Amino acid sequence: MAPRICFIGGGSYQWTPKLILDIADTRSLHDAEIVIEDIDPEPIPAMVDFVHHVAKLRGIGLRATGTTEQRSALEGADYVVVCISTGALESMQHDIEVPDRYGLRQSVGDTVGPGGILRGLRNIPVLVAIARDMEIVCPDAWLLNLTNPMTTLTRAVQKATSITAIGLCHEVTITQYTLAMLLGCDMRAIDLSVAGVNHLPLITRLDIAGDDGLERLAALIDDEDALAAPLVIPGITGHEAVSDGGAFTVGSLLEANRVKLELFRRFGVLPAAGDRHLVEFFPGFLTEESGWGARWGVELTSMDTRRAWLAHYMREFDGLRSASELPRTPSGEMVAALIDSRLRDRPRHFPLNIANHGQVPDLPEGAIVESMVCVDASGARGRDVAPVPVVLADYLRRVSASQEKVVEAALTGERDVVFEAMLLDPLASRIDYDELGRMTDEMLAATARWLPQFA
Amino acid sequence: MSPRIAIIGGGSYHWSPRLLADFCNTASLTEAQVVLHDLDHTSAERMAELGREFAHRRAIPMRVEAVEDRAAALTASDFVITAFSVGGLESMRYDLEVPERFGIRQPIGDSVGPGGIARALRSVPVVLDMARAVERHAPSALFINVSNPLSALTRTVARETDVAVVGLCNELVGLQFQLSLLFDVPMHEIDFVVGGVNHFPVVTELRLGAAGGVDSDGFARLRSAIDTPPSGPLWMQPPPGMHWRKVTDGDTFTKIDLLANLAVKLELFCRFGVLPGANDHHIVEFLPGFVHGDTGHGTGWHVHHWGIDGHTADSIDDVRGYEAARDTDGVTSMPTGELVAALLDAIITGSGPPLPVNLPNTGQVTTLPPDVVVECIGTGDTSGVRARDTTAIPGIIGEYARRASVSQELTVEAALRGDRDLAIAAMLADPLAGRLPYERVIELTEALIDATSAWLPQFRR
Repeated sequence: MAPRICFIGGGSYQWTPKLILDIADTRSLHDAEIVIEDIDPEPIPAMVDFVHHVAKLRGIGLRATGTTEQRSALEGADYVVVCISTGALESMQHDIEVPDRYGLRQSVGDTVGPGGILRGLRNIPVLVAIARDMEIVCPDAWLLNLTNPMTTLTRAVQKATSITAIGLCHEVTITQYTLAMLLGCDMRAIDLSVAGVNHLPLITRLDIAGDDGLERLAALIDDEDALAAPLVIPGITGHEAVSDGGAFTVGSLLEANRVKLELFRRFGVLPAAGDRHLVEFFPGFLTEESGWGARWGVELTSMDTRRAWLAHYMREFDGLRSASELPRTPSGEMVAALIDSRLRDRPRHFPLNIANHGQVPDLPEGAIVESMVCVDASGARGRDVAPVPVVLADYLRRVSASQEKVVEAALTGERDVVFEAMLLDPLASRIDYDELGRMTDEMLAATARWLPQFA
Repeated sequence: MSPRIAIIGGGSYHWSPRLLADFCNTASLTEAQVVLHDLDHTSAERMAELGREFAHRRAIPMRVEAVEDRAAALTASDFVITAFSVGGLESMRYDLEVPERFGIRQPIGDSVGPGGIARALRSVPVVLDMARAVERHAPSALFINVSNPLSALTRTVARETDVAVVGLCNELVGLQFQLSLLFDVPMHEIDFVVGGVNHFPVVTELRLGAAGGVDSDGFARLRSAIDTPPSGPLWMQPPPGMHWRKVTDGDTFTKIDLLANLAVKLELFCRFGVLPGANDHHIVEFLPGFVHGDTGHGTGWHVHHWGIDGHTADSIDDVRGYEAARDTDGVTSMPTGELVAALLDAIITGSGPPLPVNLPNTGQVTTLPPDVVVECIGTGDTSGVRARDTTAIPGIIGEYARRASVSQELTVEAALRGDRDLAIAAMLADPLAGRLPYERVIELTEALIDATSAWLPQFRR
């Protein structure tokens, strides 16, 4: 039977169009029923029209309805895709600007660090409210969370409700793509083990058709003759699609991944998220002295850049709406494939964020971890047991301890617990102890209208 | 019984006069046979002479001799005490000055942080060599380490040898003294449950007053003392060596001054509900937000920075202390606050008061990894020394203690293997050193290893 897939925050120009295209190109989902829910009524008609436009061009039975009512949207859903952002760029501005005044510049600001912590405080109650509604109207549906900070949001749903929640993030897929380019292999020939938290997943094992891919990578990065070899990088998922393509060489691609390769050189496992994410977990890369990451090739994502991205997504959506031919390239997102695996009981492995039941032995049981997960009709479960080198394990534990406090603070509205989360976070706690307290208060005050639980 | 006690590094101006005086004041040790061994035999002879003089003045049968051959010194010993510092102040200068060039100013620099790690790198092989010698020549002796970094060195012995080992540090005695001043309760009536690592021991329960007394919840009294600082004089003025800062007018230190000089630990207590027990200048090396360059490296928190000059002054004071002990009549009956004699007494007589000890974690501190050396309250009897309590260090403080122990374990490993990458790993995992820009952590590690290479044979390339 065709599933009912509800998009909460379905007005998202960034997420909904590409996920709809993936769904349309997945046979088992051709007749799916899409519900576009958003608190902002404005983009809903266009998204519903887009679904029907896609259905018509592809000649499939896909159909959609739109609503601003969360509860009724969730009614009878089999899958709930969540792509929200509480306060959007307006609230995020404070996540970036307040810490900036305290000498903390963040390259992304949506995962860990002061920005990630505040974003968690804003989004957690919203996610939990969605899951609570699901408990009433669709208790067996899966919540597929695409929203950041993914780890704390997914953890909060798991901690506070009975809903099955899975976090889906494309960073490992992008790294896999990068590796395929660097090592000249088919992406599908790659198998890997992953251990970590979202935006700091570590590839502990990389198998390329029976070869040790990490060994090959180690050889490549020391091979000066290989650097000039050209690469052609087509547009891929996420922000890279927005940035300049141009002609890449092996060398320039290595340059664009300096942080992860430095950590790989030192510790022997490969961090599998964009360097701009990694440096927020290893703030020694994100210091004034290094030009706030510039020395490592990391650019701070400014609010202007984010606005430009948003405009780009809107233009791209406008193009798709009126296109008479639609792209068939998979987006690299995992929503459609994951649903397909469960629906057809066709086991596939995905890098997903679920509760730790031993797949990341260095992190506490029950914490939300990113690891290779097998999905089929019986559910989603970790596939590997992947220990990581001790220093990296400890950096993971540090953020994991902070994340647990973020969840606690968001659910209880305790300001002291927010400070504790900051004090445990490697990036936030770089500053002076008293300053950290002041910065925490200032961030809470600046974003108070999105934080009712702290009122 | 006449116990045989060997002191390795027995020429120490700091330790030997204190230990010998405490022995004289401990009934079960007045017949002890004390053997002093030191690389500098003349210094051992100097201290043996002092010990014999003490015994003579007290008219006790304690025998003290300097023995140049280490094997002979160790053979048949019941207790082996190690008090040493590889390279002394000459090497320690680099532990402080090199990190300072990178913007890290350590108040002490002997336990964690770049200075503590560098000190461990040169001291671990030495303590291991001593423990191996004990394994050979006095296999049933109890090995008592009082040298810093205490956790890393005690861990080395426990990890690499079969020798029974305990680390002893007087910081919690200092806390007892401070609380005694605050509450006007005798020191021996202050009891606590502790979990942590050395120089970051965390009091998780506090009892004031005689056993079974009414103040079993000492934390409640501490909270009200912070809210309403008690007036009245201190029963004793702090010795100058404590480097207290005076915040009130007048000539004498008051309880207001006392509280001001405990600012960091009380802040942490108010916020997190448990009380870090070491002096603030140690605690801040574990919680680097208090020694940030932006705020004068902790001056606002009254954190005293020793610097190499301060350490040098301390060692001159030690020499003066020795000379005073030598040139005055009698032997002081004032306990030094060190715990060696008390522990020996408990083991020899079969009973004694609970003491802070550093032992491998066999479950007494549930929030720290197994086997790492933890500071806890222990008891001694004829079968040895063991932890008394089981405790968890809650929340943030527990997490910071855990971070320190992870770095310490890497430090021990790096020191044993002479592995620069592991030393860098230890620095990256250390909260204080790990705050530097990534490249600078590596440069700092290399610079420290290079500057102290004379004492680091295992790192020679």
